[in-house]
Amino acid sequence: MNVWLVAATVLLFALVLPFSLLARAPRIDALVALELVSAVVTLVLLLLSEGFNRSIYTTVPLVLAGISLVSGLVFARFMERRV
Amino acid sequence: MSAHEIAVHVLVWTAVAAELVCCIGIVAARDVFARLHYSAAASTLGPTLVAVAIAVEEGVRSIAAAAALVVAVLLLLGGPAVTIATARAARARLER
Repeated sequence: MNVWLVAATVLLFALVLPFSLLARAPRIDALVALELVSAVVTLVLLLLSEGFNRSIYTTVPLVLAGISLVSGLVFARFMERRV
Repeated sequence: MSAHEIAVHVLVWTAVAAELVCCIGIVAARDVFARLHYSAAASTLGPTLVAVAIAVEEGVRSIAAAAALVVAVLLLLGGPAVTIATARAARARLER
């Protein structure tokens, strides 16, 4: 295992903490935790693509970064108005 | 270990440490506005450091470095926008 894969594994284990918040916190706090999780998962995918030495895999974090931006804005707008 | 490898290790582990602080801080924070600080920091510091690490490892002109840089820029620009939108939503819910 190289440094990229070890770092990705450490970050995956660290995700347990925001996931615990996602499960038990109020909705708006869970949204903040979801934003943190999406940023960390994007980083993990970036580290994995470098760790496996496949530059084509960087498409996945690229798409996730765009989707998490849009989903964060949509969720925030939805929570501001309705839920 | 060469200077090049040391630079990559320092950048990657600094990024991991920053993300770990954010993961612990978001659980330890007392309310949603304090939690937003950790969420915003996670989408700015870590991706930038990893993108620089990949650029150091692969070279600035490589495809991997370009893609990592685009991801970092997307998160850098998008993170504050999402944080502001979430803070507005939290305030609106508080006032309701």
